[in-house]
Amino acid sequence: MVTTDEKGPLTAKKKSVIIRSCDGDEFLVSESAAVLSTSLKKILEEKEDRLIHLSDIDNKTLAMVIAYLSTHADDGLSDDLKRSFDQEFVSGKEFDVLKYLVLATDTLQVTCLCYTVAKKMADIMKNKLVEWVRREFDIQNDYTPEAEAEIRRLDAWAWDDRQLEDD
Amino acid sequence: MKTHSDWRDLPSELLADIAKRLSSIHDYLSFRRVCSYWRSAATFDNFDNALSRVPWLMYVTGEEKKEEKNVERVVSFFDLSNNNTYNITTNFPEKSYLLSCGGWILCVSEDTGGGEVNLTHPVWRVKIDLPCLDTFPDYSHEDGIHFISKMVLSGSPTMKGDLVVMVIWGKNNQLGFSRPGDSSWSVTDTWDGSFSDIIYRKGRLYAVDFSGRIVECDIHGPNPSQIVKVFSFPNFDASFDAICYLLGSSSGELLIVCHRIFGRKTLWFEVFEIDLKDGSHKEIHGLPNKALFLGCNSSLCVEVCDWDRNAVKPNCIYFTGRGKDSDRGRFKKKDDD
Repeated sequence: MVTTDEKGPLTAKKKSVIIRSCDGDEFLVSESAAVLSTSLKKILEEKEDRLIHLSDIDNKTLAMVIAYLSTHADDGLSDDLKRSFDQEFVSGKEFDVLKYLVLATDTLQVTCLCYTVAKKMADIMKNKLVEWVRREFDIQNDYTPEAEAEIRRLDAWAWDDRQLEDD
Repeated sequence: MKTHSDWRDLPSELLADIAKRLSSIHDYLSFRRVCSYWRSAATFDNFDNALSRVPWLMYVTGEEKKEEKNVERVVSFFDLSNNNTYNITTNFPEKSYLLSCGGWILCVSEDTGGGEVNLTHPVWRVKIDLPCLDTFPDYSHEDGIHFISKMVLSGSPTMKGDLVVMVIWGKNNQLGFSRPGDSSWSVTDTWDGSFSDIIYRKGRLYAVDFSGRIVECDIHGPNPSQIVKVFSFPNFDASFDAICYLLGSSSGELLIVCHRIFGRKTLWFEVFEIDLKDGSHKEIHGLPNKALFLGCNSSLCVEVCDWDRNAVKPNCIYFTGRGKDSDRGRFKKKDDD
């Protein structure tokens, strides 16, 4: 299956690339959009092949990243429109979706998207308990009880009667 | 396909990118507590060098004497972003004068007579000694702890690199600087005016005097004591007293703010955008999405769009003066720009 991105039909003049997700679906992307990803740009420079297989990005996530790349590669859109696209891009997305998006951003090295998702992740962590972050990100606490107690003691002002959200 | 657990292998640069965008030091400390890997990504200088944040307002309240000379002082910090007050225990001496820049506090004290100066961070709990006041030319004991009236840093003191502490000093408000490990303060060439504010910008020190003239100093260069005039107003209105402040916005503009005063009363504020390339200036009547913080501490321009607008109002100037009776408050600029 070949899916074209929504942002206008690709003209014959424009070079395009096919990107395959780990689920096997293929996406047709303009080269100008693909090269906004440093990783894809490198692959395209190194080999003639117009088919790139990404073994660690699923359909859903890849479709989002491609929508992002295509919008940012569109010269017809003003910077203001791109900025508001960025805002909407991360708002309302579920936490799990965002987590995959961060990982995909890292794999594909898309600098501007990286800033946007990092900001969103930071907003999610705002006013959250340490325990909440560990649970939601599935991270093991590797501090010894003594080390943890020492950290708590040093910054006692920060942990005493702190009102936090634990949702 | 990557799974949940891959978050553990996230590169530290990406973790640092997230940590840098945490708006409060509280959340940053929580981030550092998650695990040792996250702690190593969220370094102190990553926080210090990130985007400008809404500052905490500091006020020194009670103090608790422990031993004869060892005084522990409780300093209260008011966080505008959530209206919380945090009480942090510090070791500021009893008679001390505090100036801040980017969360770091320059503490000047008179305990030993020579005017001890050090740089501390109340949350990172780092202390860096600087040369004493008596290494300035013409310093005498009577000058006291208010000898330094303004301080800016070239970067986070916890970061590797050339850290320069730049100050306005003495009765004539001249420029000086030192680095940790120096045996004395260095001073720049004498200026015929009196400086009211300093800023560190693009590797250079800029200072503005009470007449709105700007000088530049290549602080990391071979001749750091040389100051060069780079801007002056063609017709500076001297009919009312003004305290001039120098600010850099996150979008790169250089601003002069004139706080017009009559006695201790605030009359109004004038804001000018300065172009150092051609020496031109234009007055700005509104500050959309910006809030300015002016006073004894380093001047700060915060982009409000990134923050909760309940915490800090855009188009406003938050100001304090020196001394108990000085004017302080919030000044709203007109929205018509």
